[in-house]
Amino acid sequence: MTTNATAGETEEQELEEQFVELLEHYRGERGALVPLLQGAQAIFGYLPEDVMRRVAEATGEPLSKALGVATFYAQFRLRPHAKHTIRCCHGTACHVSGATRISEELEKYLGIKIGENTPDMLYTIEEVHCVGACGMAPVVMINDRAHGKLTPEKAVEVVRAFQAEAEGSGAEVTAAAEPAGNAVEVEA
Amino acid sequence: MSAAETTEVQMVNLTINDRQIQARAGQTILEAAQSAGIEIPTLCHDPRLEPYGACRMCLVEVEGARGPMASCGTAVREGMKVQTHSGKIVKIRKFVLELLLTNHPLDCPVCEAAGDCRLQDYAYEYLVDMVPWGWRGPVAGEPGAHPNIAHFGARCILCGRCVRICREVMSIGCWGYLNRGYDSEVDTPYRLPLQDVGCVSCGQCVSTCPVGAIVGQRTPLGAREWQTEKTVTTCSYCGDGCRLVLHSYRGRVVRVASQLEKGLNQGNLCVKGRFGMGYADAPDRLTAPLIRNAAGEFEVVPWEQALSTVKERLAVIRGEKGGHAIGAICGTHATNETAYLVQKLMRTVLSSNNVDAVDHSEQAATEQVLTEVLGCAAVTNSRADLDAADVILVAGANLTESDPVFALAVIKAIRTGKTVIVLDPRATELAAKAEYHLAVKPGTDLAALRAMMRHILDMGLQDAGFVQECTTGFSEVEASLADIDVGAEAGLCGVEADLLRGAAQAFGRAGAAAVIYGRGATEGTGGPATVAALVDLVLLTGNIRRPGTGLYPLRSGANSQGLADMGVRPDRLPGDVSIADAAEVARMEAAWGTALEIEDGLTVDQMVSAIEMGDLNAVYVVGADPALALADEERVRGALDKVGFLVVQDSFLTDTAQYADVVFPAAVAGEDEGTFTNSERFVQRVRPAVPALGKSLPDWKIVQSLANALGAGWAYAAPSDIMQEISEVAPTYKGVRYENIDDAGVQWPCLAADCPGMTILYANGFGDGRAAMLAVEERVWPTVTDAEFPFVLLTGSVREHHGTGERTRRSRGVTSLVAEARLQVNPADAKALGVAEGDKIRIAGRDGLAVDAAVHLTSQVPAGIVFLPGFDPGAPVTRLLGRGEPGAPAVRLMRLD
Ligand code: SF4
Ligand code: SF4
Ligand code: SF4
Ligand code: FES
Ligand code: FES
Repeated sequence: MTTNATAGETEEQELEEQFVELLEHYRGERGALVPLLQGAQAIFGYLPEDVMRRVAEATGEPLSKALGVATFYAQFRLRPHAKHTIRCCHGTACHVSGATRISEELEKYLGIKIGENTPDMLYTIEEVHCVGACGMAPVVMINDRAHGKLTPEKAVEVVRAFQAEAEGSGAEVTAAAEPAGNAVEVEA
Repeated sequence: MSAAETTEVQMVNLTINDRQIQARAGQTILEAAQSAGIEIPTLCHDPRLEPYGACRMCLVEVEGARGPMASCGTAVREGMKVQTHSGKIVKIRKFVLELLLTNHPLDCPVCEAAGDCRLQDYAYEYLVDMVPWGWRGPVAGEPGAHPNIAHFGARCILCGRCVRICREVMSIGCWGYLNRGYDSEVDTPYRLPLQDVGCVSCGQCVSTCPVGAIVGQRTPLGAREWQTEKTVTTCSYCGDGCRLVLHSYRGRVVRVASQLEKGLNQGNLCVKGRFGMGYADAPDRLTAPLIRNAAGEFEVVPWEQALSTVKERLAVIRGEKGGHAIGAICGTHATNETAYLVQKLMRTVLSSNNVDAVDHSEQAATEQVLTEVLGCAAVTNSRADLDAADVILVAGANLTESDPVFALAVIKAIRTGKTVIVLDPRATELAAKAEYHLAVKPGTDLAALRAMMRHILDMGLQDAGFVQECTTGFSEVEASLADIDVGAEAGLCGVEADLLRGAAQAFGRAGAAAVIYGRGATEGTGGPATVAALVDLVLLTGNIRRPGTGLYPLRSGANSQGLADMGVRPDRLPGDVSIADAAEVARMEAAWGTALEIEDGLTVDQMVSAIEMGDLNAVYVVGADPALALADEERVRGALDKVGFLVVQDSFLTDTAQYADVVFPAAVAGEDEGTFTNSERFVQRVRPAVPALGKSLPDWKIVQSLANALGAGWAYAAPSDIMQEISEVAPTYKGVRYENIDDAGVQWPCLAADCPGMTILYANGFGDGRAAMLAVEERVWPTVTDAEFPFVLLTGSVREHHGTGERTRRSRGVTSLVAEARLQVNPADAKALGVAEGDKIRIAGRDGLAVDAAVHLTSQVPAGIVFLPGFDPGAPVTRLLGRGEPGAPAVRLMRLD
């Protein structure tokens, strides 16, 4: 199987080796859940289900707990991330000014549901809480730029314009930043 | 000694709502208030869990404190002044409830929990008549795919009780939080069905959820909380003796619940207890007596005819051959009252000592050895005591499957950092979590125990003072261990010598160490020697007579212990009295007003031989299924077929009943009254929730009718009359009366009506003054495998079913989880055999008999060992047992296509 392994397969093997090393490094150690998840995400870019299971197993914690941690901190992702993130704000201000219809319209436009990636892995839509721009509610963020005072139609337009710029011109567009690194703050 | 010493409880004085109250130091304000009858509302608190302090419902004002304190997590202090319902506190509580109700859908009319919901109760109590942010409308939720447990996530108030109980108490962890803040939810990982995340269907989460977010699945018989009648009773399955609350409606049990903080189980149950009641409504319940007619078919007859037929046939047999041509076999869920009457019928009416329990072979080694060495054939301590143990040795028992609630005490020990040693060939759930797993080869437990004792002596860890003062026979034990070499024993049992030494050291050094053992240790030729070694280990280290020490033999059924206590043994009278004891026999003769046979009767196994020889011509089977339960199925069925007259008393036409001449229809546990004695010697009440179905009758009534048909003239009006008589004749039950065991039960010996029973046996010395240690057996009886028969076949319990499964197989809450017995095979073996999960396989023994079963892959069984549970007549493991091998048989496996 190694003789005619494609580049993809070799890379996969390398990642697996790194992951095994990581697991062994922390095996049985108390309180290792967060560093393990960080390490695993650094290796794979996100936390696939079988990685979650193996992390849980290595720490001796139930999967439910590992997943609780992984979904609690904004830095962790459970899905491979599309190149660009569209965040629809559903904070109170945005909510009352029609965020739901905007999300629905964007879902329709991109043909995916909230939390999903487009098949070409270019776009994902997320629902987030107040992004701190209530003054221009309702707000949609594309990567780290906020677009405000939107209607469902305007939201689609903004996305379409972004697409044209990003793909049409072939120019480098900043990929989705780590959620922890930008203005998104999710609080109770 | 640290853990074992009982310390004086320190008391603290405080004031709650201007009332002077005394509390134990270390208690929380909540606990102190509750014991003083002051109610504080709680949502996230469950006494089975560590304090959590999340919901803020239990806030109270403490004088001098900066702000309100969570009473569930604040310890009492001397002089504390607490207000539980001040205006400020009531306002906070109302606010908390309003917040919750903004999010909580108003599903009450369709919610299973309506009427038994804390949110509903408190919203009413705290006058939450509107919610500032608007109510949330009802949500059409789906109950989820689990057959017993429904989850309605929208109703969740995020108290975390389910999350914590499944982790802390069960050590599983099916539920968890997802997301954070406003998006927080409680669900399974990836929202997988519970079946796929290791759920064992114990329903502990159901019992703890304060609202209707996790509830039992609705059944067609469902009824509202306020419509049902509640009956507190004792579970009739395993020997743990859990307290159940039966909810009945229109003559049917519609739900089984538990009572938090009550009973030995403290509100915990297993899948059988909570969801295994369906058999009571099974369509094939027997509702009238049956007689086999001339054409060989069963015919429904009136009770009078059934009884007179039995009377006539027994009279003929007795006239021709005497009483010893008649035998009785009792099942493990017969009540003490029934069991007592069965043996009294046999002994006083039919002059026969041929009366035995169907599970006697499992208990025999324990009874023989414990009686001989210690003086009493029963558990020495009680489960609550395990809290005080530093080390627990679990030998030959897959506790989480055989005794799921008793097992929680060991799980707790592991969680709190105690050392647990598991001696078992299989990598059981406990073994995986325990500090030491001594994975012996089947049949070599003795080698491991010898090595441990040798090492304890080598290290000087024996309790020399105790041995000298309280035991005899130490020099014989020492001599029998003189030539033991730990390395050689390690080779024999297949466990590394260092692991054996480590375990020995832990056991030897423990301030208090206890031994729990099951049928893996008691059965087979080596059973008595293995039990003797366990007792020696305990005596050698002085681990007896104190809290946290002692021996816990497990019992297979709800009343296995009681059957022995009631004299359902061919050589023992009620109260664990030997029939070889002339004075005791004379006492019983006086009490019963009749002369007694003093020859030992036949054990169950001997009955089978006696039928074959033509010496036993009639058998009365009460609530047992020997056709499936006894080893060597073919032979047992042959005997049941051959016996001249077979009377079976049961709720179903069991495999054994198929051979019967007369069948008496018996009520089920929820329709019967009496007592069970659990494996810890606790005598507890069994109460009827609904009337017996059709013309079926409670067992005790049937036995009495039969005795009276035979001329006994008994007049027990109720089971309490029978218990009255038991207390008069059985010394250990002297003080047992329904009035004084009503709520909490009593742990025998109970010597007077006001005697609370005895938690720890031998505290004041052993039966004969000293415990008589036995020389350690030098052999082992491993299973001999070879190229042709390369596998060792083990059997035992699975948690979903009980015994031979007559009742669990008829309960949907169980069969929807586990419908058939599967052969557990190690994945490596399965690969070599070319079988996958679910494939059919043939298991064949050396003499050509075979059983077919589907395969279940699990690394719980090591390579070379397979495991088949015994509840399924479609795959009767007993067919391959008892065929001349000293222990577990060697088998071969063949793939079936
Ligand atoms: S039923 Fe028991 S095992 Fe299953 S989720 Fe609930 S607590 Fe956990
Ligand atoms: S499901 Fe019930 S027990 Fe679990 S967190 Fe929600 S309300 Fe609490
Ligand atoms: S079967 Fe045993 S553990 Fe389960 S509920 Fe009944 S008594 Fe308790
Ligand atoms: S609510 Fe959308 S930006 Fe604040
Ligand atoms: S019961 Fe005390 S905080 Fe919930």
